[in-house]
Amino acid sequence: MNSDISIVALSLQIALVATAVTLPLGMFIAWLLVRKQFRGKFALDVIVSLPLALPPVVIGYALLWVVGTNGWIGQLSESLFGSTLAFTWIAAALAAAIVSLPLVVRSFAAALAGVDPRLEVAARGLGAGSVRTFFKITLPLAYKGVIAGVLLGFVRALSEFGATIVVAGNIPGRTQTVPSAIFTRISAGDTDAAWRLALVSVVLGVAALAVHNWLLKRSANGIDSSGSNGRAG
Amino acid sequence: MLKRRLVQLVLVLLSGGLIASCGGNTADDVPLIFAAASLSDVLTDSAEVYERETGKQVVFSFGGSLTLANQIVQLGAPADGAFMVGREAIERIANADLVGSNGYGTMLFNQLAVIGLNESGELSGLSDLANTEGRIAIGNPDLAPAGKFAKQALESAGIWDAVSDRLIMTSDVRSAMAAVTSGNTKFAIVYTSDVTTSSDSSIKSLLTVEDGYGSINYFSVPIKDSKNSAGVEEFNQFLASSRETQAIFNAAGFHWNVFAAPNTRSAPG
Repeated sequence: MNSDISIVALSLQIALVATAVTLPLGMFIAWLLVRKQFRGKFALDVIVSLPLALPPVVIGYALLWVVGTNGWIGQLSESLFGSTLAFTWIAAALAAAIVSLPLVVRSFAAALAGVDPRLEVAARGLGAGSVRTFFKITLPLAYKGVIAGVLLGFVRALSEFGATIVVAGNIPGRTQTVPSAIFTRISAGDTDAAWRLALVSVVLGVAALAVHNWLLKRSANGIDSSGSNGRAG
Repeated sequence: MLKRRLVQLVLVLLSGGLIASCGGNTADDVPLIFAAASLSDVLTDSAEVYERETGKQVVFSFGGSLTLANQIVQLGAPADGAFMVGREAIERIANADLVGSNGYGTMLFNQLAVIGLNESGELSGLSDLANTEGRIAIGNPDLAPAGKFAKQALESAGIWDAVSDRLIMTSDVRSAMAAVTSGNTKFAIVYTSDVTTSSDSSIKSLLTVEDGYGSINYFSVPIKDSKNSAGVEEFNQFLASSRETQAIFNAAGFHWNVFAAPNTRSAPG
């Protein structure tokens, strides 16, 4: 049987890569939703939030159509690498990223919304461009909420099951994540092995949520450090 | 300053992912065989023998044979070999022109058994099930050949209609057995090999179902044009010739088809 360590390592790999993708993407989308007005903003919000409202297996199935033999990503991958992305860890990372993106965006949006826009206006008035303002004013004030969002997204990516099993399968050593392995062990009647991995999941989840909640509490109380040198950024 | 930190964070996440990948992934050149769930124990043990004797590895993905066949044929799953039960699963692969050998012969035979908890009384025939109470777990006939065979047997015994609302359908034969070992159903129809290999002492075989269903044959083929199909053929040859692996299968209750060499067409059976 696939060793517990290798299953956890594969899950971490997939979740870390998924989080590396949702961090910048989620940040940009959150900034658009909180600070910008434009046509289609409502639609963007709905589309980004959609994975929260859909059964994960539907997300996996839709993803399968795109990265499999019939989809444009799948065909591109086939011409470049000789095979589609279906049943690879990359497909699993994509699935994890899609399901965790709405949580990341919401967390980031809440964090950004907590920053007084007048500070940003002041910075712009002093001549800073919008990118510089974002990194020097907005982000330092919002960073606790941002880290909390990253944690939430990471833990969600780590626990993704339905989409992963449809688009990436449950191949030991290649796409068998912690949730998939637990499912297989339960199905096979391997209760001890299932409990071990379930315990790992619980510990990771509790740790991530504890830090997440602590961070949000600290930023809500206004306990704010803008860097040890006293300057924002 | 913070921008740099953010970029660093993204890079840390990415490199963390890539470092973790050293621990998690099976190398691409290890043959991957999609195999029927009933073979979980015997194939895993045989692969250990194989690695010990030849230094080569194989890995498996176990499940209901029909599910696995669909993954290979329709979804492009990267299987190098298929070790399946029942003609239907292997024929799906053959019809998609994905069988990588010149033919396929039956490697193993199996039989159906009704299992239950130790306290249950033995059954003298399959039709006795209609006189019992409690749920019966079988594989889903669309996903697992074991379920198909179970359905055939129940229909032949004339009790399919009588018991069908007591049936719990699972994704493969081992899940059906787990439904009994977990105490959640009273009976299950599985393979005789599953009962033999199970180390769970709370269940026992109540009946070996001798007839009423098609012959339960196992076929093992490499997948055409897959990366490691040669490795699969080597493994199959090893299975058929090694005394130790043959003993593993026999001890588990499988019957070798001694009349067919691997990868040749055999007489219908």
